[in-house]
Formats: sequence, C-alpha cells, structure tokens
Amino acid sequence: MTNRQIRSICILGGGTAGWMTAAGISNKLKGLGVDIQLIESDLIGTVGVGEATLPHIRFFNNTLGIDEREFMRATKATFKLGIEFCDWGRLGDHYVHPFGDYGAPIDGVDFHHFWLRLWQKGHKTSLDDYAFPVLAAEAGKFRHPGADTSEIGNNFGYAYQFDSGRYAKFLRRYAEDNGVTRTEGRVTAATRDANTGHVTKITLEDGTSATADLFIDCSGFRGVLIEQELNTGYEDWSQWLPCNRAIAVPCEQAGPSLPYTRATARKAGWQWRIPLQHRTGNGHVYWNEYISDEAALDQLMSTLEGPATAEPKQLYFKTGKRKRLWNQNVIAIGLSGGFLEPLESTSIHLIQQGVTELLELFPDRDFDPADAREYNRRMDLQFDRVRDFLLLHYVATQRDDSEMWRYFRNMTLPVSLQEKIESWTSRGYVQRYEQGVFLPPSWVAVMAGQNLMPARFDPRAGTMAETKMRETLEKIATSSAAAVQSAPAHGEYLSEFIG
Amino acid sequence: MTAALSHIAVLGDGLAGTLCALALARKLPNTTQLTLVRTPDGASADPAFGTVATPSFYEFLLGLGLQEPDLMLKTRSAFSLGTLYLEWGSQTRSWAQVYQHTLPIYDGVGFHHFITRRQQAEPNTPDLDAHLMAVQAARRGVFAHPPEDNDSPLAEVDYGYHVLPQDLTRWLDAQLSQTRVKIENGQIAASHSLKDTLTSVELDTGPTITADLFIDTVGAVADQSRWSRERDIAILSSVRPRNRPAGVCRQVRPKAFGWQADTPLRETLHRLSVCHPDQLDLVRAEHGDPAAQPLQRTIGRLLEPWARNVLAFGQVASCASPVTAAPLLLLQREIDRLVELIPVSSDMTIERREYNRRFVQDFDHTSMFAQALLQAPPKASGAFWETVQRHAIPHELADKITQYEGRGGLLQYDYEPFSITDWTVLHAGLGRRPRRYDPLADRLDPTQIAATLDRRRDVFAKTADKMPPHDVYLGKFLDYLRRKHG
Repeated sequence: MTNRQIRSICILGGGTAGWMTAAGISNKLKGLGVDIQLIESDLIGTVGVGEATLPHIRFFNNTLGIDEREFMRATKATFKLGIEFCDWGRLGDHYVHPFGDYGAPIDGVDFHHFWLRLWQKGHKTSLDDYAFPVLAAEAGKFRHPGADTSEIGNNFGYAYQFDSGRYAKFLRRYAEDNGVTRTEGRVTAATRDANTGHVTKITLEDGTSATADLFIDCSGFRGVLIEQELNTGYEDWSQWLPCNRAIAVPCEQAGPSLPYTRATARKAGWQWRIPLQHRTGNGHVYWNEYISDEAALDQLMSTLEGPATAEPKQLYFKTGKRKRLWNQNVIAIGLSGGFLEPLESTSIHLIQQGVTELLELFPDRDFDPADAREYNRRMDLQFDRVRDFLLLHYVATQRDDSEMWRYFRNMTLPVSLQEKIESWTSRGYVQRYEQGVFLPPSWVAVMAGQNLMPARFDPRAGTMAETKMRETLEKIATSSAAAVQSAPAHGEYLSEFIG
Repeated sequence: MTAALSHIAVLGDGLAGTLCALALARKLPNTTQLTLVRTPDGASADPAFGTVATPSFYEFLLGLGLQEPDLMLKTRSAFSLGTLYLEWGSQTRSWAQVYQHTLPIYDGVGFHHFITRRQQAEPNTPDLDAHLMAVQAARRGVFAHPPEDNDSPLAEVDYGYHVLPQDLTRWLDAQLSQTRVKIENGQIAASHSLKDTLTSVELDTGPTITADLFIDTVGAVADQSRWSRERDIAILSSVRPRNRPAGVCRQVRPKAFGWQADTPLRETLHRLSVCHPDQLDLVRAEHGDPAAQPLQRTIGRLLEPWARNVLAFGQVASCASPVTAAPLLLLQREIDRLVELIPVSSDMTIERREYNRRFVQDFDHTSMFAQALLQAPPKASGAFWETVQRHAIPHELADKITQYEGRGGLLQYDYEPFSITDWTVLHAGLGRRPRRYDPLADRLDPTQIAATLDRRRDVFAKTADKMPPHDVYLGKFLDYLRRKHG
C-alpha cells in the first residue's frame, strides 16, 4: 500500500448503521493496520430503522462469514418472502410484492405479457398464481430455495425480519472481535484542518478526543458531522413523500409467525406489521398535516394483534437525502445520509449499499475529489430510484377517501416516474435500469397489484397459439401450487432450522 | 383506443434493412404485414458498419433463429479474438483488445489491481494483456472454440466474428425468402402525408406502399436535419484474396491520414482506411485498391431518430466510428430495441419516447469507447487527428478515465455495451497505470500472487502453443460442418 493510506477511521454513532459499517469495514480492512473506532452514547437512543430487509442482506452477511442459524437465533429473525400490501390500490385490496419473478420469460419476452394477453381477453387469472413466493407467503409456508433454479419452486429470493437492535449488538461483537474499539461518549465539538477543511478531531463530553483520517457519520437524523459541522444541506423530498412522523410499538404475537411483512394503507399514512420470533413489530407512518399524533397513536394501538409489550416510541423525520453523502473526509451512512419511509424495507439496504460503495471507492489520505463525486453519483441514483418506487405506491391508486389520497391524486410526478407509469399502462413495458435495487418484477408487482392495468401487451406475446399459451401458463400455475403444497409451515421450518 | 399496426414498411435492403425485416418477421405475429423495399442505393453506407461483431452476436443470431454453423458456411466470416491496435496513441503502444468473459477476482479485488501493485514494486512486470489467455492465442494467431469445462485455461476466452456487411446481407436475404416479408423494388419517388402522419411512399417502378410505420434505412423519408455532429470522415473499403495466414484478430494502425484496419476473413483480407475527407488523395496510395470508391460519413447521431411514424434506422440514424466494434453492436441494440417497442397502436407516443431515450443512451455510451481510443492521437498528427481532438470529451468519459488513473476504478453506466472487462483491457492497452491500487489487495501476500500471475502466463503460453492456427482450425471446422450438413 502507498504511504498515503488511511490509518484511522472513526465511526460516529452505533445503532444499525454504525455497527453494520463497523462490521463491513473491519472485515475488509482486517490485517491492513487500519485503526477503527466507534463512538456511541448509551444515552442517545437508536431509531432501529426498519426491521425488515431485502434479500441483498444475505450477501452482506455471507461476506462477513456469518452463520445463518447463529444470526437468526441472535436477532430473533424470521424468514421473509415479500411484503403484503393491504388497502393500497383500493380499500379491501391486497397483494404481495414477492422476492422473485412471475413465471419465466418465454422466447425472450417477459412472462407478464402472456398473462396480460389472456387477461385482456377476459381470462382474468391472478398474477400471483405464477409466483411461488406469493403463494407460499399467503399459505404461511417457507423453505430455503433448492439449488436447481430451473424448478419454479426454487426460483425466488428471501430476506429476514429481525430485531435490528439485536442485529446491531450481534455485529458489535463481530466488529469488536475484528479489533474495532468502542468508546462511550457524546460529541461536543469537531476540529477541522484550516487548509483542507477536513474534520481532524472530535471532542467528547468528558474532554477526551478522537482523531482520524476518515470519519463516518452514523449519528442518525442529526448528522453531527455531515450537517451540524459541514453544513452539507438536505434535499427535501416531502413534496413527493410527505409523511413525516411515525409511532412504533411492539406487541405479542397472536398466531404463527408469518414469512412476510405487512403494510396497510391508512387515511393519512400507512401501518407496518413485522413478525419476529418473539414479538411483532408495529408502526404507523403518517403525515401530521392530516392526522394528530393522538389519533395516529389510537389508530395504531387499536389494530395491534396482541397486547403491547413496550411503550410506543414517537419519531419525527423529513424524507429526503443529504445533498452530498460524501463531503470532505466525512461519509454519511444511515439516517444521517437520508430518510425514505420504510415502506419497501430499503433503510437497511441503503446502509449496506453505502458500506459497499465506500469499500469499492475507499480513499487514501489525499481524498481524491473524483472518488467522493463517484460515490455521490452512485448513491444519488440509488436514492432517486427508491424514491420513485415508493411514490408509485401512493399514486397507483383509486383511493380518494381522505385528504392525503386526494393530495397524491393531484400531484405532478417526477418525470422519471411519470414515464415509467405511462409505458406500463400503455403496453406493459417496464423501463429498466441496472444500477438500482428494484428490478422490473418489483415494478410489475406493485403496478399490477394496485390495479394499474395495461391497455395492451407486447405484440411479440401474440405469436404463440392461444391454446399453447393457456397450457404453458396453466403448467406454471400448477407447478407453483404443487411446490407450495409440499413446503412446510414457516413456523415449523424456522423452529427446526434454528434448533 | 387506436388500432394496432397492420403494416410496417422497411425502406432499404442494405444490412440494416434486411436484418430489420428479418427480425420483425421472426418476432411479430402474422397479423402484421411486412414489406421490404429494395432500393438501388440500399447498401451504399454499409462499409461504415465495419467488420467486427462482438461475442454478443452469437446470442443475437440465435434469437433470430440463426446459427453459427450457417453463418460460417454461407459467408466469408472468420472467428475473431478481438482487435490488435498497433503502435497506437501518443505512447505508440501495441496491444490486443481481446474478448474476455471476466477477469479473475481474488478475495473480492479485481485482477488488474494486483498487476498495478506488482508494477509499483517491480516496474518491469508485464502489463495486463500478458496475463490473458486470449492475448496469448491472439499473438500466435491460433484459435479453438472455448470448451464448456470451466477449469480449462480457455474458459476465460470469448470470441466474436469478422464479417463483411455485404456477406451478412446476402445471407440474411436468403432467410427472408422463407418469411412472409413482401419484397418491392424501386427508388422512392414520392411520399404522401396526412396531417402529421406519413401515409404512403411511391416507388419509381410504379407501386405505392401504404403503411402505419416506415423504417427508413436509406434516408428517403426520415428527417435528418437534426444531427448531433462530431466530425466528417471518408472511408475506403476493399476485399482482396489472401494466400497466407492473417491471424485471428483485426489489425488497426494509426496513419497520418487517420487509421487503417486489416480484417482477416476466410481466404480473403478486408481493408478499411478512414481519413479526413480532405485527405483522400493521401489515403488512396496507402489503401492499395485504386478501384475503391470513397464513402463520406458524419460521425454522430440524430437527436431523435423516431419522429412521427417514421423511424430512421441504421446508418441513417447514427454513425459510430468503426475503429471499435461499436457500429454492429449498435445495430444489434437497434434491432433489439425496435422489437421490444413495436407500437401497439397508431399512437406511437410511448414507443417513440422510450426508443429515442434508449437510442441516445446506447449511442453515447458506445461511442465513448471509440472516443477513448481516438483521444490518444499518434505523435505525427494530421487533419483527421486534429478534428478528433477538437471534439470535447464528454464528462462521463472524463470521469471514467479519472477513476481509472486515480485508483484503477471502473465506472459503469446503465447498460453500457462495452463491459468493465473491455474497459480494463482498453485502459491498460493505452498505457494507463493507476496511481493507486485497491488497498484491499494488500490482504493477499504479494509473493503468492506473483506466483499465481506467473503460473497463469505459463499455462496460457503452453496452451496457446498447442492450439492450431486460426486458418487451419476454421478449415477443419468447415469441413466438419459440410460433412455434417451435407
């Protein structure tokens, strides 16, 4: 390594973001003589963003060499096949956004076009019938996907629902074993280099201080370094995603633990339900313009499946992202970088993405501005594309039963989203991108799930004889159903798996 | 709701028109009527497509129901391991821009970082290309199909084809006769519009063709006024017989007038000379074929190839420099894009917008590769190179170069046709040596890595020594195919 290597890293803030960063970085920099310390204060609570995850988390854990059983035991995790959305398209509707494809492409044409062709002829089957993870979720079943992915019952992904506080603790042990030192304390001041403007030192309440070449700000909404010190600025997205408060409360579980998260649309926001092994996490995300805190709390408490096991926790936020997630020698990961409501479980994913990109663009002490520029370009794309996907849930709807829903109906959408919706409704075409988390099947799931039905289908799907097409679709539905039939109940499988 | 398209007319029977008509016939339901208009000048711009098809051509042909054996039997095509750029750029470097699946990754760190690290410790360490199997084969002019076996030293090698546009057109044309495409002959003499829609074209031979969508590959009806222009070039193209081996790569050399490419084909050699239009006299002598007719082109693209119900296609929509494989690669993308976006009704707003968006993205991404090559001019520069230099480097390319030079970083945009591996080979070939390497490379012991690198070179050299010369392999392959297919 050159003599300009980073010698020391200071991560400010524990919580999910801080410890995921510490674990990810300490694993990769092990043996390179880089001193990594994490400063956190037990007095400052953590938000514990999103207890539900996306399948990508498995890659993160695998890279760390984490044993799945051990991890699931430690974090009280359950398996997750997708998210069930209730009352989004219309009151009374529900659909599952699964981790996996619908059917499989035929002659290079996406499966949903063949389904659309039949649907438009009046043969209105549900797209769900062709997706194992949807059927399995609805039946409360789970098993790991087998190795042969040509089998429809193996062609799916899965993620976890876990206690993020426990995950942070689990990763803390991992990071400390890798040599990360933890310091208890609250930051009172930062010192910057007069020439470069870089943060060189932070001073703690007790008068001690920490110096480092690189600072990673995981201090949550406050953004102690990225905002309070560097005044980076915040891109406010509340015009698109106006919900600005949440109340979270855990409760006892009423039935068997389910392999999916539920998001139910409400009059001024939406409510989550995340089943873990030992409890169910609940929360109500809302726009305070149209519902009071008291009413929001009532709404949440009156719909819990069991008695609450803790006091409700109130959260305040503004959706958006930091104008630059990497500024000078400070990188913001987690809530300090931005906040998008956890409707599609992207919070932990965006932390993971931040850590991954940082390792890929890891600087030296010269801090080439090109690296920060590239990091910001990549993360901006991730945030922008997630934002569009979240907003889609609010606008692909016929609901107009409250002020909030009427607000969305009258909204001028970002051009990127507007064009995507128009391409879909015109002909079932899904505009693709490579650099973003949600692939076309996710867009299909939400748009079709919320009754946004295309007027036509890809003409190429018209080449197959109708009888053959019906047979092909029927076969996929039958084998998906059969695969679900033979799968075990999620609760049983999980108990056996973790032992 | 407006009616679905009932008739599509393709104007021009050069490579773009023929390929387009065939693809539509193979992909669209019989309810869409298809007409191909053979025009006398249909193929005049085809030399600008160059002679290089990348490995993706194999899958592309399969998607149209076409097979490699048929291509090899019916045309003068040859296998290709890539392009040798000879004495190129300001550092007058020579390297093989080979097709390579991916480069190895050790402990999560890209292969080229280990080369950089070793070069920093031992400046005489050979460059990246010395460590690639395809380069060893390319230098010796040998070839064999890569086996399925992933443990074989050949597993990392990918291959493409050397092709002649006129051969491809003839081959595809023969396939057309087995489809429902109706053929008309004649020059487009007049066109008729109703409001904003082109309704029909009249041929000088009599027929009038009425269609819902016109795909124009000859510039007969498309509006070409809004062209984003990079520079003008002139092209000379010739095929001559050869009686000695010419290797398994195209060879490209810089010249004072521009550049010249020699492409080995079966029993023949194709030469392409590209220059500034004012310097044709200078080129003729070096081109070596007095009968060659110059073709003038403007490098660049239309701002919006699809306007109204007229789609400008092939060389009418864009012209990428044939110094890389870009032109045929773009044509493949054009076909794929079109079949994905065949309008579902006579209101083509959605398809037009999306097609034009993807067109711009594909062209701009693809042409960056040529810009990266040409922005490194030879020491003796003439009008051609001065014109190239005058065109500003797009910031996307500048960022790519900065990332590589700084940290060996590889920056990719959505759906770039040239892969990260292609870019790595190009950067290294042009002589770029990153100032830093990925610090994570230091987790692995330099001595062990050095041994791995040396072993690779050794195994690849020995494997290449045992492979047959390309001409011999191709000859035997064709004999086998003839026996098999009669």
